Amino acid sequence: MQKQLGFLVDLGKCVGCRGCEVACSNKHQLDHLQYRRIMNINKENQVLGFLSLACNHCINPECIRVCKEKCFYKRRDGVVLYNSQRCNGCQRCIGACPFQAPKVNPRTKKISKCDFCFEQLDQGLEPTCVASCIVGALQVIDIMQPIPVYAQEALPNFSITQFTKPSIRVILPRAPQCFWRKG
Amino acid sequence: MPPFCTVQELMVLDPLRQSTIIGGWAGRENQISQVVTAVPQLAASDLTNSLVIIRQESQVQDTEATLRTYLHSGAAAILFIGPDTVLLPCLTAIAEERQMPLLASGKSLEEQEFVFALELVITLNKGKRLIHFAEYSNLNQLTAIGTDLPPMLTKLAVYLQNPVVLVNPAFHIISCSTDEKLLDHIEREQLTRLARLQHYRCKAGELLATPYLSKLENSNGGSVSCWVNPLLRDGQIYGYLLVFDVSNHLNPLDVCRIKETGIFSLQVLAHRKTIEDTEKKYQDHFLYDLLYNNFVTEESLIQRARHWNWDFSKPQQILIMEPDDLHLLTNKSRMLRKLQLNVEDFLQHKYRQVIVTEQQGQIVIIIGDIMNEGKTAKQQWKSLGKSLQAYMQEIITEVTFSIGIGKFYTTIADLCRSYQEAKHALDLGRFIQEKGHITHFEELGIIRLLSHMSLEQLDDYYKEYLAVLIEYDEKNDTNFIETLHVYFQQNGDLNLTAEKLFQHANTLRYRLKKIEELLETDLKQLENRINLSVACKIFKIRKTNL
Repeated sequence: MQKQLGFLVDLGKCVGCRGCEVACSNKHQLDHLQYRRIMNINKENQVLGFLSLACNHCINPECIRVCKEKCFYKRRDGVVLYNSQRCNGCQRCIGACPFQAPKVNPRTKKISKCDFCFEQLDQGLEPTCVASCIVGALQVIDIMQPIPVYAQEALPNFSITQFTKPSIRVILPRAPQCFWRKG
Repeated sequence: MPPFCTVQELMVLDPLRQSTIIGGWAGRENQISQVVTAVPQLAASDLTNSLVIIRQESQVQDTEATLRTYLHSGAAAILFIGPDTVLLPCLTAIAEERQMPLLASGKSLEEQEFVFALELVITLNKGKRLIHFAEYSNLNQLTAIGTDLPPMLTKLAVYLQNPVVLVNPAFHIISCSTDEKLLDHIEREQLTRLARLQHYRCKAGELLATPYLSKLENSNGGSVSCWVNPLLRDGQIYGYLLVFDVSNHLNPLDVCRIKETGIFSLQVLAHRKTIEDTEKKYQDHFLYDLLYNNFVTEESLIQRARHWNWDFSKPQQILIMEPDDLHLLTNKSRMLRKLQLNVEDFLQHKYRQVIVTEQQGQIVIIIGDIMNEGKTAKQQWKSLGKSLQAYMQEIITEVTFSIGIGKFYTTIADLCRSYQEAKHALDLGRFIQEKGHITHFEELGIIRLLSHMSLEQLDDYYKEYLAVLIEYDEKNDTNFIETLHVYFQQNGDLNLTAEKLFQHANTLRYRLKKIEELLETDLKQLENRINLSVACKIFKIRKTNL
């Protein structure tokens, strides 16, 4: 069976500390760019949770389809990478990606994006964002393997575009438990 | 009449089991009630129902003359015992002509041993227990042949006097008996095709573990029985051993022999599959790299493809096939394996270079023979898709299959883009067509743009145009949305829409009038039609949770 690495986000654990965002920027030496970002999930102006989102290393990557220079490629473990040497800065991939994962580097005017910290992955280590998550809300999973039954592809109050088959699964927050005796 | 057994039955047990059939096996039903040794005084005229044992004389000429004499007698069978078992072809020809089994053995055996064997076989036959002895008694002989399938199948065919064919699970011939006298090449192909159709018709979706007899009706109006022996191990079918009973005399002893050969064929096929699986692993890795642009240069790709004799210096076309509602199927992997095998079988007859592989629950087809480009090519691939669907529907009746076709690119490096387009066409095609659709990427139209819009924008758009209608449908259960969607799908043709919805044309007219009233719009205006058509498309997309 083929491998497809992806992220599992536990919304019940994520406290929105933005540790993953900062760690990613630090690792990739990004000045004003953000590969990973925390999004608020709202319902009637009330924040229900936080979703940490970067490139989802889709099963059907739109970036591979639209790039005429063939900058993007997919490794055998499912990680979508890019070859900046081929990039001519046309930015077609930015418009095509439903998650706006590719970013333009203001210095080089070329595209760059989350690379799943593949060098660390090859050494058997976790990506920086996952390693830096102090509450353990972000995990690396192989979505081709059986995953927890309570992990979902979609969120009830936050639609994730599905046609590219993103490699992300989420665990919804469980109902809060009341530890105090009610009056 | 004294008790007797047939020559075939006597050969189940030692010592006759170890002898070799030289000729005249067509007369294997000859009855034996006594065993006699050829001596000069023995009259050749009084040998009815006898097994005649001839020992090799010192002079070769004498032996030949003796054999010739007894071959013209009324004996049931002749056993030639001697170290030199190579007999003259003319003697074999006589045995064949007179249908008298001529057997040979290198071991020096006494007449009494054959008499004991004859008595034992007759006793076992009375209790109908001979079959138990017959099963697997010849495995040693079979394994001695080696791993080459044709000699083994030929040996079985000669024993049965019937043609034998070994096929893969898709009924594609792997090997067959080489005796053209029994059945010629064309007839064999035809009968195998009939057996395949009969198999899929009768046993749709079932995994068969037991052999069965199938009646094949050929185009001439005649019928041939076919013994189908499934080769099954660990719940997986490796192939089928087919015996076409053209001489119409298969008996339980023959079935035992078929089963034995089946076991050995299964060993050979399982061994082959292990090798193929290893090779396939490397192939799959290469194809994954090809489809996801994971290679350094185009030249290196073309070079690597030559390992499998694939010519990637020419342009390739890609098609993707997927069973509809795959997630609902319980036997996904088996279904995909069956699909891949049959697609490969179907296309190999049509194109010189066809690559069929499974990637993430989809069957990817890469075809190398591109005859023409442009619109003609698009129609050509669509008609190929249609015939492929029809072929698969014949074999796998329980599900429908959809096909996505990517755009044509001149270089192999662009195949990764064509692959993504084909997947796109397959996924998004279901919003514009029904199940079992064939969609070319270029036909997706507005859906291509809609798939890139944010979901909030899409929701706002369709609600703006259709909210009144949706609310009305929910309250009155009128299903006006579906009516409008089908109306646009059929290019506004009232008759076609009415036919599709199983409604009278006047009913449809009334419903459309009502829709116009509710939406306060005029369906005759092009601008309104475009807006509503797009809104309907978005509604369908959102309903299926894009």
